[in-house]
Amino acid sequence: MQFHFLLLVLLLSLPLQAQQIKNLNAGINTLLLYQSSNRGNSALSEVRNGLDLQETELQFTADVDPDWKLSSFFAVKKEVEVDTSVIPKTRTEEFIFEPEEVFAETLSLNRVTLKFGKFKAAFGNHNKFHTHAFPFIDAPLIQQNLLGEEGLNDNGASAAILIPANWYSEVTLQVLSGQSEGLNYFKSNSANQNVQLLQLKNLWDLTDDTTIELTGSGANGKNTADRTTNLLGAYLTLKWRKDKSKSLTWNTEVMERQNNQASDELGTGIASYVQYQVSQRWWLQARGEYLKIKNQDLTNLEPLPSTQKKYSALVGYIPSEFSALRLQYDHLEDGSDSPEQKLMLQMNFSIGAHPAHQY
Amino acid sequence: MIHLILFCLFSMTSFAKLVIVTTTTDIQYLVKQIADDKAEVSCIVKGTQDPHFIEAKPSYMVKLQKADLLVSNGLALEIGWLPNLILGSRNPKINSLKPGHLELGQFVQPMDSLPATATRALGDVHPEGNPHFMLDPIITAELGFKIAERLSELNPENKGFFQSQAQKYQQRIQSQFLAWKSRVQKTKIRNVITYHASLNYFLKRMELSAPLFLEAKPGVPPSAQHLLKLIDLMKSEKIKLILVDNYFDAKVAEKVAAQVPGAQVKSVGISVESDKNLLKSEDVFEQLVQAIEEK
Repeated sequence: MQFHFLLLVLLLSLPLQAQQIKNLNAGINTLLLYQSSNRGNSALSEVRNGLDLQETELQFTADVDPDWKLSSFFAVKKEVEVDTSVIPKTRTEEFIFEPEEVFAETLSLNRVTLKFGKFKAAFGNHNKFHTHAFPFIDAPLIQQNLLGEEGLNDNGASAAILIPANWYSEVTLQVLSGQSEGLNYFKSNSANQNVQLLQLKNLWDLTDDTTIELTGSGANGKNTADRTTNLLGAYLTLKWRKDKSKSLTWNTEVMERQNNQASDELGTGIASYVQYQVSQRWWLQARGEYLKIKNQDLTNLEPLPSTQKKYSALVGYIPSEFSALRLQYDHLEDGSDSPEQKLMLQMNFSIGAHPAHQY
Repeated sequence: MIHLILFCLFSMTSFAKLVIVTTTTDIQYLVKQIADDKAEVSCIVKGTQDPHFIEAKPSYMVKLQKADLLVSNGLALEIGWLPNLILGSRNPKINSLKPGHLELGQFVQPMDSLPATATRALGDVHPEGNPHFMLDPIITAELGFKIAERLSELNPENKGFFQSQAQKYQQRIQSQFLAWKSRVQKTKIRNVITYHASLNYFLKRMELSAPLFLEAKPGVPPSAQHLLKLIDLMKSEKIKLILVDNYFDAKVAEKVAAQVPGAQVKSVGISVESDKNLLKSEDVFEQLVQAIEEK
């Protein structure tokens, strides 16, 4: 923890020196979250009701030389552990400091970008987002339950190739270690067994204002039982933007995980959302989700609900590119006696370099 | 046979047109004046769009992949979207500081530069200075020579042609500018109100000024308190003209004008192709002069 603290102080001092390093883009994003849930009142709840620091992210990017760019993203957030194996059960929490992504990518190759390091894998729609850029305050059920709390984020190598075509068509090949924290559905016992991933992304301009994107991804690798885990995902996104104060996005993502370990567990799910920008500063959003898990591994100490349905509604007030206030209501049916009802209010602040926005 | 193949390849290279992508329609028009038929010139931002708020659509990356030259505005006008487009295009020719990327802002003495102590409490500011220099006819004519220089580097065989085109353009603009300025001076108008600081270069060149803007801070919609201050200023300084870029909603300006006796609102295009009648930069300047004359 002392080492983490010193590293944090060192990194926080970097933005002050950024003026001297002309091309270093440094930024800090902070998320504050107030939540109230009918399941958040227990002393042992993983997520408690009240106001909390959700996450602070430190971002540093710069061209290394004409051939390479280095990007680093570090997160400071609270990690909660509830130990149910002892009597009475215990709950501990502490702030942790961890690298979310640290990778180098090429700048000087024609049609291809090579990337090396720790990064968010090119799998599905939601997996690419950092917490402050999530379309909703929380990640969808398929992301949380099939890819894990941290998503498919791992050490590896990547090649993203722009295919010669009249529309945007990109094929991405990645090799990942499968050993990072949270990837319990891989974690082969052999260091030589990697995870292979393939993604094909296509985007067409329907009109000057409207685009449609269709992307499919697949990954597989050996797991701890020395059997194979397969991931499949696809998403469709329709975007319309009239001007800076009117836009509409509809995204639907499906995902499947075949986790063949002690049992042949099969998880499938769908998440679909609409984001409507009412005016320059106001957004209205709605999301519906469904997740089903069959043949769960009985060795899992905390089995997931076999079926989950969730409905969310969100109102966003975004006065500038650097701050946002979002209010979200969730209704979750997961087979418990009563559904979870949750209200969340998130404040999002960014300082530092002007971010270049992803489409 | 080998000679024939080499001759064909050489011929193809000699006559291949440069593929140029510009960020805005104003730059596209200027580059077309210099390159004429020696290049295929296309553009990313439509004339009707606000260049501050463009999304990095992947289809723009496909367009940039094929570019021999990218000509951008600079002074952070495109900071929210161009870096991702360049990275996503995977075209090393147009990377920053390469001959295939010409940023025009580096050649301009910018207006409205901010001190290093400026923060975003001032709004969505451009610390390097006001990026709307393409609305100054004299600056655009001078930038024609910088474009000619870069085109000559990429296509040395046509160096003389590009230089001559830049000179012709400058002569044309300079003679028209004198007429525009004379017409503006005849109106006796010295102050106008604009929505954003986008017309500052044009106003300065015409010896006009905008003492206050409709938006309280750059990128921040006007508050009621700010509008009251604006109405008071217009009354005390006898300012009767509000110019609103046609991609902004003119309703707020009309409410203000209704409170100031004799005040008028003119919705104006501030870029080439921002209106069906504005096909050239000269059309944009002429329309701005007419808007001032008609007051």
